[in-house]
Amino acid sequence: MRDDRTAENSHDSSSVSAPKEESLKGTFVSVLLLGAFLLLTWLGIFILFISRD
Amino acid sequence: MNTTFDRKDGRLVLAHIFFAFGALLIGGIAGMLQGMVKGGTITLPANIGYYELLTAHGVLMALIFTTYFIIGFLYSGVSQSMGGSLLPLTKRLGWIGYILMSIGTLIGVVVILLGKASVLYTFYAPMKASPYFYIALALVVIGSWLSGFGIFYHYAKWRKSNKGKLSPLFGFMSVITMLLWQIATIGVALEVVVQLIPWSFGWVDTINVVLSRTLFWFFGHPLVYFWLLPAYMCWYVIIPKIIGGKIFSDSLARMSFILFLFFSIPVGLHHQLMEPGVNHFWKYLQVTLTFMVVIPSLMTAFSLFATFELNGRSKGAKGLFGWVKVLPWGDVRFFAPFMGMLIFIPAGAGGLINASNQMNAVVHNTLWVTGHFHLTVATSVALTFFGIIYWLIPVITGRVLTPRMNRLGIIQTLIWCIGMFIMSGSMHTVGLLGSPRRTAYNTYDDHPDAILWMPYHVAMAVGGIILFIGVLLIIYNLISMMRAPKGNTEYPIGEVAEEAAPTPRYMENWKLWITITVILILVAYTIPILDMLNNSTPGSPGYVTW
Amino acid sequence: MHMHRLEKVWLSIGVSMLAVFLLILGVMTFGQGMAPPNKHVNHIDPTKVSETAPFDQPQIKQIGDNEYEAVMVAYAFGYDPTPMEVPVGSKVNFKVTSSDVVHGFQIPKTNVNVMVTPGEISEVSHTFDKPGEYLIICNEYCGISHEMMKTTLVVK
Repeated sequence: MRDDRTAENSHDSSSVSAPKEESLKGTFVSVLLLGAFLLLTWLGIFILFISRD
Repeated sequence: MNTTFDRKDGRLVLAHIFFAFGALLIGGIAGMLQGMVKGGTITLPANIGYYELLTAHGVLMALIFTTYFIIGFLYSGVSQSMGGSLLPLTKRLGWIGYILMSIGTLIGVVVILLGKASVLYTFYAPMKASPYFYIALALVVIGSWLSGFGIFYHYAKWRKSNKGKLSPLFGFMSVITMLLWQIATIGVALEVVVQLIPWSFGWVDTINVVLSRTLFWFFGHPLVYFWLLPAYMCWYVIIPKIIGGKIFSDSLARMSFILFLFFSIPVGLHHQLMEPGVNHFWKYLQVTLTFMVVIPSLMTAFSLFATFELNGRSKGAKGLFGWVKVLPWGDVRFFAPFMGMLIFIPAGAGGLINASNQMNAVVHNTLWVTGHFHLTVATSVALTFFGIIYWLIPVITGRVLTPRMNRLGIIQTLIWCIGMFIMSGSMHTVGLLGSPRRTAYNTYDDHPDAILWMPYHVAMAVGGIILFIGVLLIIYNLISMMRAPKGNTEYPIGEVAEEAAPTPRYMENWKLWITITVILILVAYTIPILDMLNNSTPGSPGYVTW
Repeated sequence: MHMHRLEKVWLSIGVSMLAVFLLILGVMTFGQGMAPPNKHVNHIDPTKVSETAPFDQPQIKQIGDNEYEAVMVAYAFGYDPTPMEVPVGSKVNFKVTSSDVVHGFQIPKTNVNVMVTPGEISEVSHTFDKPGEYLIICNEYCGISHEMMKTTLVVK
């Protein structure tokens, strides 16, 4: 159980000897799509704002 | 893990959940009727006003349904993850809080229905409601404080008797949520106790309007994070267990909650961008802080996708998106919150636009804003809460979720999504066309701009009716689950992935987190509030304009 | 605190995007004068609006070539003066205050959208390049006939 993990093994948390990283390509592509959506909607309203001024 | 839920704790949790869904039902009726009036489909009998219904809908949904559900949910998880039962003092505080909140709610509803407080749930001065409306609100807030103290006490005792151990993620997140709430409600408590109640009783003649609005929004924005954080708790802690996976990272989850505590409070001025009386340097500063609060949501998006992808890969899913297929789409405990997550993407995009300083002029006080928070609180948060009851009720009552109930749950979720797509989609669109929020049916002398809005208003009413069917079904589901067959249901608390790096100790340095929170608030608010206190603007007397 | 490499990349992209948004908004606000309403804070006694100049005489008057000033009072449930008319291409500087509760002041399809708070004076300007009858509506709930609160500005 993770609750039993104690303070002593937390010091190395920022070191580079992290466990080998899993492939998260699908996650990365998903969040990029999300970012693109944020960008497009924001730009859309920004253009509306400029055009109405 | 305990296999049975503490019976006495269960009673407290159920009391909160049933009260919440009672409020949802009444608030839903008010919402549907009001949508139909706005759409021009019905005319109300003379003794019921549109704005009375709107006030009841807002107060019952945004304040009562959410607060009761949240306290019930947090108490259940605190009991489960920190010792298996609530400490006697915690339970007592929970019950006293419940009683105070309920007295407040009942007084408030009566005053609203008597037409003495048609001031909407933002109760902007100098519209002056009956003093009993403000007293009712104060009771709700004080009650919720007691429940919060109960959680703090339980957490502190747990830490004392589990020295050196990392607190359970659920408990940690509960403390952040209630801490956020305690700090945020100080603003509205000051507004209600120092300004509104004395003024409403006539002990003082006038009120500082801009100050009252600023104190309200000091509370009003963190309020939306108070709704959202329990949904995030479900997404971070519960969902990994339900899909049979692991929590992606305990420390990132904690860090995102700490960032929410920092940045969700010193940002209220972004609700006041379009009003005079506040210098625009301070508006821009708080806009910047508002953008900071997006960061923990970006982190959350990554963590959740990663949980899904790692879980899929461990089950042999291949390719970029193979993991999508192995998610348990037929399980309402996953499906309802997942739809909530998905809808949080357009909801968040809208929020970013709303907070964009001068761009706010495009959407301010239009139906776009109403559409926005019907995605955030009424879909992302509400669907997650609905998803929670499909396991929480069975856990507490020692029953099981039957396949039939699961199917009804999926149907309820779909109804909600369809209704909300129609209603919120129309609201967003017609808002961009300029249709104002919180406004009863009128064609403005058949002005062409206003005529253009009408089909969208009708679509909103149609969406509202579909959503009301969704409300009826969730109430039916809730009651049916109380009669489901007996059996054992496990409280689904996720475990952290083995590969995840351990959580650093400083995550529980509460003094540090509270200090940073207070400093940010002081930086963002001290000078604007001093300006409001020192300026020579004469105050406003009260008006009853309804 | 350990973070996956791709998460670091994602957060950098996301934070950069937010920074660019803020930069655009900041340049417009402080550099180009396209700020949210009211750089200056102006006060008025909300109970004495009808006796305080210029609001004792709500009116629209020409103040320059193609430039007008509209001094307006918002009240439950209407605006003074009404009606108003300006030629196409006019810039109108609206100066609005409230004689009772909080109101809104919105002209659909333009960026004119400002709160009218008692005790404060809201200032907002717009150049009307297209002819038409512009609706001015209250978009902040102000009482039982809030939905009736409107006026128009005719641009000829």
